[in-house]
This record gives sequence, C-alpha cells and structure tokens, in this order.
Amino acid sequence: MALDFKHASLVEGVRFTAQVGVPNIVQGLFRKREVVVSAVGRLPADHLAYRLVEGLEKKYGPDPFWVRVGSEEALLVTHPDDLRVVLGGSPSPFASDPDAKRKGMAAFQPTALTISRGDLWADRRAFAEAVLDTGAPTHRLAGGFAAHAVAAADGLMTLDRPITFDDVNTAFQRLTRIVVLGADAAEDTSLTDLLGDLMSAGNKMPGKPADGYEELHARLQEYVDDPDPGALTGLVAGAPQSAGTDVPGQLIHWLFAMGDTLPANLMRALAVLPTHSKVLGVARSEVAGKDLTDVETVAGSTYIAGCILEAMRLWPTTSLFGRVQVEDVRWANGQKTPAGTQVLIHNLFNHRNRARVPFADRFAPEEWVSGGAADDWRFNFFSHGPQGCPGAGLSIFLGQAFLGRLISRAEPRLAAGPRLRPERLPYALDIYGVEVRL
Amino acid sequence: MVNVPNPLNLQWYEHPSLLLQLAALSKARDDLREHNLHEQDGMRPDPPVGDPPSGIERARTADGTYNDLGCPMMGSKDSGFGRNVPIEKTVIDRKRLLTPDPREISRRLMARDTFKPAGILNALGAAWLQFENHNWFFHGDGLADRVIEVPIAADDDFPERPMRIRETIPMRGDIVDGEPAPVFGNAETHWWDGSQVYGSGAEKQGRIRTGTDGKVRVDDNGRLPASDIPGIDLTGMQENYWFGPGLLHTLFAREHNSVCDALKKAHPELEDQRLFELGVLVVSALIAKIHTVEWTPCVLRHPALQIGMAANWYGALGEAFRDKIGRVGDSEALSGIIGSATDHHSAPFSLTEEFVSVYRMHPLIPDDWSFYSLASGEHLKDAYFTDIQGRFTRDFMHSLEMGDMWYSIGRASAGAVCLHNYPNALRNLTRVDGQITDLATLDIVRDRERGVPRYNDFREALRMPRRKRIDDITPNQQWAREINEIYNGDVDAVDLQIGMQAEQPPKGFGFSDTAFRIFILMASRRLKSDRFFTADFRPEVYTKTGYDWVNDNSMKDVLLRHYPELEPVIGDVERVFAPWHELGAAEPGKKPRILRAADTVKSYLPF
Repeated sequence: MALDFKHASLVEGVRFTAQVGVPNIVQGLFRKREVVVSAVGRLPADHLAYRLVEGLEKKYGPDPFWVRVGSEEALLVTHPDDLRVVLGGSPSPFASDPDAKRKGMAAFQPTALTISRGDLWADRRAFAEAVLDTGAPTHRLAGGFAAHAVAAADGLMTLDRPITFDDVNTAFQRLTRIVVLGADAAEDTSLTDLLGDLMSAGNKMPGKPADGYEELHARLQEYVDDPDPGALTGLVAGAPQSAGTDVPGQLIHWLFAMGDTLPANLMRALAVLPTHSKVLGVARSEVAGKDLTDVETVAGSTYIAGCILEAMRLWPTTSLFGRVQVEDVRWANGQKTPAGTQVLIHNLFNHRNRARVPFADRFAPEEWVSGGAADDWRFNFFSHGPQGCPGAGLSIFLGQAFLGRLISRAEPRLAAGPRLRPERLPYALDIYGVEVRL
Repeated sequence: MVNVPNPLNLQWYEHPSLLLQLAALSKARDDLREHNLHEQDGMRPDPPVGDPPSGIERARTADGTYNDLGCPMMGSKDSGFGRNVPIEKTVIDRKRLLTPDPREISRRLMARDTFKPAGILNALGAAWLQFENHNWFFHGDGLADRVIEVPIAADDDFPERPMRIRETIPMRGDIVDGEPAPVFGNAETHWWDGSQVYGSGAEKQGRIRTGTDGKVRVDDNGRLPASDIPGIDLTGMQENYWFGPGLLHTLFAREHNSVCDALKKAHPELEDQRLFELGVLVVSALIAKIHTVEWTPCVLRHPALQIGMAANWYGALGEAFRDKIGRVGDSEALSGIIGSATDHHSAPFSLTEEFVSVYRMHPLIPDDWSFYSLASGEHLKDAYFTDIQGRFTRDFMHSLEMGDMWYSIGRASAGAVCLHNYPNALRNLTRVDGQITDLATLDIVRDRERGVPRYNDFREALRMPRRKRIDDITPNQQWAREINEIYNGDVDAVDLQIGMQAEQPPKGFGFSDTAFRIFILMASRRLKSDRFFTADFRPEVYTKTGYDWVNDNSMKDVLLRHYPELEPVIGDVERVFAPWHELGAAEPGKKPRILRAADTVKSYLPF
C-alpha cells in the first residue's frame, strides 16, 4: 500500500451510511423534526451508531480511517491528536463547509461564518469575536444578560404544571431575541417562526436561500439599524466589519445557536439532574441563596457550567460533523489524503468512547471543573481551534444564570421521561418526551 | 513441492519452465537444509542459571538470548558462527594462507579499471546490503599485536609495507594448520533483530535509547546525534560507516520513533520499556520484510525469484490472499514462513562463515559519486568514496540536505559484482582507528584464514558441479587467462571470491549462482528459525498496531513518511532499490526510460 489510512469494507460503509449518516439526515440536520426524533429515539439508533463506530475504530483506528458514506469514502477521525490536526487546521486546509452543510445552511444563513473561507472568514470571525467578546472572562453586557436569563427562569417557575421542552424553548427564544436584538424584539415571535421555517427548508439541502430569507434579512437589518445598547446589536457599530461582513447574516447563526441548541442542552441537564441527587445537591449548594443576576456569581458557578457541558457531551446536538480538505494533507505518519477529502467527526462516538473516556456514560460535571475534560479535543460540541465557537463563553454564561436560578429556587423532579440509569446513561435522550416538575 | 526427476542434472535455472525451476529451487533448498547446516562443539556460551528474566516471551532481548526458549543462547551475541560445509571441509591450510599472493589477486583481478554499473540495483541497494550485514555479523576488531603480514611488491604503491591485517581471534580453541577451523564468534546477535539500529547488548542499547516513550535518539533536525567516535553517528553498529548506511540508520531510527508514536497512540498505558520492545519487534520485522520482498527480488531479477521471495514472506497464495483471508493452516508453502511454525531444520540457528563470505559484495559500491539538488535537479558536487566515509561521514552528511543525499544515492547505480570492479577507494582505505587496508586483499585472506573452502570445494559441498578448468568458470576469456596466470592453471586453487565474481550469474541475477545457494538457504532460515517471525508473529505479541505496521508498509512508505519531498522522484517508482529517474523526467502516464529499464531483467553483464 502506498501511505494511506485503512479502509473500512463496503459492507461496513453501507452500515455506516444507514446507521450513522441516514439518521442524522432524517432527524433534520438543522431543525429537528419532532415526530421523527421521537420515533428514532425509541429505536436504539444512536446506540447502534455508537456500537458500529466503536467496532470500526477498534478495527481500523486509532488513526483516521476511510469509511464509505453513500457512494463516497470519507475519512473518519476519532483520536484527539488527529482531531487537533483537523480542527486546529480549520478553515485551511480543513474547511468547515462540506457540501451538505453548505447546501443546507445556504437556506437560512448563506453568509454564515462557519461556511466562509479565506479572507471573508477572517473578516466575519473578527466581527463575531468583537461582538461576542470571545476569550474575555465575561461579556461586557453580562450583567443585563444575567438579569434577563433569571427573568426567563422565573417565568417558567410560575407555570402550574411540569415544564416541557416547548416551554423552555419558548422562554429561551425570547431570551435570545432580547440578548441578540434587544428588548424591542422580545415579543417578535414571528421572526423566530420565520427562522424556523427557513431551517426546516435547510434540512432539504437546497443549496440556495429559501423563500423568506430576504424578509428575515430585512427584518434583522431593521434591528441592526436601530440598535439596543443593552443587546449585541448595540455592539455592532464598534466591531470591525467590511462590505462583505453582512451583519444581519451573522446574527442568524447566534439566534440559531442560542435559541435552538442551548435550550435543548438545558432541557437535558434538567432531565438528568433529578436522577443524580448527589450532583444536584452539589449544584444547588453552589448557588444556594446567591444572586444570579450578579456576574461574578454566575461566572463562578463552575459546577453548574459542568452540568451544562456534560449534557452537551452526553447528548451532542450535532452528532456528526465534517470538514473538507481544500488541499492535500500529509499526516504525522506520512499518510497523504487528497484535496476534496471529506473528514467526518462523530461526536457521539468521540464523546462516549468507552475505551478512552473513563466517565464516558456517566454524568460527571466534576470532570469539567477539576478534570481534564475542558482540554480534551475529543469533546467538540463547541468545536476547537481557530473555528471553535466564538460564542461558547456567552452561551454557557446564559445557561449558568438560567439553570442556576431554576435549581436555586426549585428542586427539579422528572414528571415524565425515560428512566435513567446513572451508571449507564443512554445514547439518546428525547427532549420531546421529557417533562420536569419544578 | 513436487519432487521432479532431474536426469540431465540441470541447475535449477536451466529447467525449461518456471514451474520446474520453482520445483528445483524448492528441492535445492530442502537438500541444503538437510545437508548444509553444521555446527561444532562450544558454539554457544553456557546458558545462565536460574529462572529466565521476565518478559522474554514477548520481546527480543538486547543480546539475542531467549529467542529460542528451549536453547536460550542460540543466535545470541558472542555465540559462534556455524558452517554450511561439513566441518571436516573447513581444514585450515596456513602454508597457503598467502598463496597465491592475495594482494596480487587484488591488483590484477579485482581492482576496478572502469566502473561497471549493475544497472538493476541502485547505490541505495548497495548501502542497504551493508546496513543489513551490520545487523547480522561482525567478527570483532581483533588485536593490534596479532596480525597477518601481506608482502607488498616493489612496484606496488600501497602506502604500508607489509600490509598488516589483524587476525580473526577464535572464540574457542586455536587456529591449527591442517585441522578444521575453530569456532569464531559473532560480536552481533545472529538474529534479524535490527541490532544495527539498536546495538547488540544492553549497554549499547542504553546509549541509543532516550528513556522516554520507547524512543531512540534522533536530534531536533531528524538526524542521528554524534558519538564519541569522530565522524560517526551514534547508532547500533558504527563500523565501516559511510553516508549510505548513515542515511539508512537515520531512516530506521526515525521509523522506530514513528512506530512508538503510533503504539502509544493506540496504547497510552504502555511505558517506555514495552514501547521500545515493540518498536524493535516491528522495525526489525519491517526491515526483514523489505529485504525479502523488495531488495532481494530487485537484485535477483529471475522470474522464479520474484515468486520465490514473495513466497518466503507471504506464501504461494500471495500478499492479497494473506491480507484478506489470513494464514491457511501452518503450511510454509501455502502461506509463507511468516507466522508459520518455528523450525531450525538440521542444526540450531546461527549465521555461518560461508554466509559472511558470499556477502562480500564490495564491488556494489561506486568510487565516484555525484550529488544533485532534489529541489532543482542541479548538480551540487562530486565526491570520491574516501571522503564520504569513516571519519568524514558526519561532516559530509551535514554539508547536504537529507533529501539531496537520498535522491543522489537513489539515482546512482550500484556496481556489478564481478571481477575488475572492486572499488579502488576500498583497496586503499584508512580506517577510523588508523589501520590502512586493502579490503580486496582482506576478502581473500579472510576466507582462507577461516577455513572457508576455495571455489571448487565450496561448490562441491553444495552439490554443485566442480569446474574442471578455469576456462569453465567464466565465459570471459580475458578473465580466464588472467585467473590462469595467477593460479598457475590450478582450478582447485581458485579462491571462492574470485570464482564467484568471474562466474556468469543466471539471467537477471545481480550475483552468482554459487553465492545464491547459500543465500536461498540462509535467507529463509533467518526467518524460519526466528520465533518472532514465525510462531510469535501475531497481534498478541506485536499488538495489532505493530502487526499491521509490518504488513502495511513498504520501503517507499518508510521513505515518504520521513522524506515526503522524495515524492517527485519515487512517487511512481515500483522498485526503490532500482535506479530512480531524474527529477522531472516522468511524463504523465509514461514511465521514464530508466524505470522501464529497471523493470526488465537487463543487468550489466560483462560477458
């Protein structure tokens, strides 16, 4: 053989396509289809996917290996050293715009940072980092954001029934609009609905902006033109930008990530805490009697941050993501992969790798506080490297304030949902089937 | 293999079909295994008393002990060389030690007049053989006060009179005129264990190892560090060093470290010692595989050997079958030696004096070298062999990029192993310790000194026909005349080296059929006797990562892993031991002429 990685067999490729590739698509790449997600959740699809990739990795790993997805071979990367090469080498030579992702995202955010390349990527990245205060201990508007998050949590606690994902999502979409667009957008639910419709269109990977995109863009432009000093729009004017930045186009991704992904993770954290009384006790004691509108208090609640990060690790909202090589790459041991190679990263397997992650199937917030989890390139719900999520800090901060407030005021109990075994948590946790009593 | 009758007493390559040739080769090897493995008393030091050290089941030891668990000293460092001819045929004739005059033989029969290229083998292939010999054998440095004095004629410009050659010191007994030779010891392990890279013995290995993650010492620039011998790299075997072996020692030290990286990646729990042991197992097996399925078929371009050597490693079912299906039972014929049962055949394993003799292939080395830029193709400089070897090696190597040296050695042809092609630089060689030697003279003297039979007796012991007249040895009449003059027409007096270099090799062969007989016996024996190539060549011992590494990699992979800049010159090459094409010589879809020539069996034949 010339220097090459190992190749999974044709049969294994068919299985990979069916068990890993297809479920990701039928559940909706961008907007989860509730009926399908629940149906898939009742099947052991994620478990099967994990088992399949585990077997492949044992046979062909720990180096990257080729596996067929549909008619093409893609390179599956599982080891942290190689993940560091790929994610550390994004956006070049590993661009984050594989065909499927670009075609899907084109429907609702055609100018998104994550599918940009070259100078445009650098331009948009600089803009995002400036507005989101990437790398700062806390965001400069964190005080106001925390108050809004606390208010959102308080709103949920007034409900006289167990809360569902829809409740959390609705509250969070509202919070997101306030944080990103300003107080005037608080009740602009039609904007969120419009984005949702466009994301559903994105599931079909149309490769071009869906109907309604122009309207969404125009409505966001209005918020940008009339900025709220307490929201992210208020920081736009002070951020570096050019004619190519497309500010409204950048806001879409923040609305999407904060408004859809984060509440799903928080719902899972809420679902898992009641079955982990010790963890819940530690988390509650961290915030007991504290003012969660205080920035220092929120940022200091690291154990609660660990709880949110663990929900993200155990049940990654993006179980499979990819990169595409823009040029030939020679790896550490000399293997060469050509330009155009699709590189796949299977978060579900990497996050749960039983052979390498000692706490793979446990809920272990402490690993993020005092362990090595935060430095482990296996865990990629926020990605890593130059394309690591610029809003990760802000996102976790909002989650800390929200979840901290909830558990400091109430003891969550599971009213409906799967029975969880703490020592062996399932690979899928269907948020649509969970109800939590506060 | 079927036993085919041979009423015409044909040599194996004289049979009319490939199948018959393969059958004859197989029979020849079986006969050699039965009749040509001999040893004397006192071949091995006494085994250690008490329980064996821990870990011997899973790893090669530094001194080669415990490869055979039932005979722990077999093949170990400082154990004796065996013999391929019966012991009674090794009688030493001290009176004829210098008859005919070996320096005269060197001057009149061996000295290179013009460089005769081998054509089929590049200079990297020449360096490779020396790299391998350094793994296998070394008779030691001798003693300064025990020398053989070779007289130097009045018209000879050799710088010292007489030439002094240090005697080989027996490990047991003495050299007695008229008696069979005593046992000489091997300062290296006999096993194919990478000892040229790692060193033989724990003390030497301790200097080579870093003590971290199993790795060996390589500097930040990917070069070997300096040793306490001026001009010589710190590596396992530091004798007879020049830039060619220097490249290979560097390459495989780096390969070892890459293997360790891969092993640690797959098994983060493994510590330095185990990682080192596994690296040694993997790299030595990879070197053995490259030698068996790449170097050998390149230097022996006969179709039967293309099949025969792959069969040694993979078996008759071939590489693809082995990879997909695995071994078929325990059959050596079907699935190759690798992974089959260990078997020492008719004597415990050791390398032999005859094996050392037939590997005296110094004519492979060119005297005049040209160096080219890999980046631009431009000619950088020329050098004479004297200035790129011994104490000059490191300075020379540091004057060039590694890629330039690889490219230059890959482009250059090795010399043909024949008379009048012995490198003149080696005929007047000042060694690192100051000794001045003519290696051609030495090659003749060593065989005589150690009781290796002369050419005709040697052939007879291998059941090859004796030559009745000197003219029967070679079709080159000029050479026959010269040999006749030196040996006074006595065909039985012709030295082994001279006979082998005068002989016309079988079609496509880079060396003589006489040498090949020893080769086909010992090449497979080095594999078949070694537990780590046979019963213990399995993932449970090597780890899956290590086992796959041996199976998946080739010399080209190793080169490109560490020197990816070589891709333009070896990317389309099938045989890296055949001369490489010039930079930019390849047209799309069409092989450069030199590669087309290299794929044929046309070698330089001075007949």
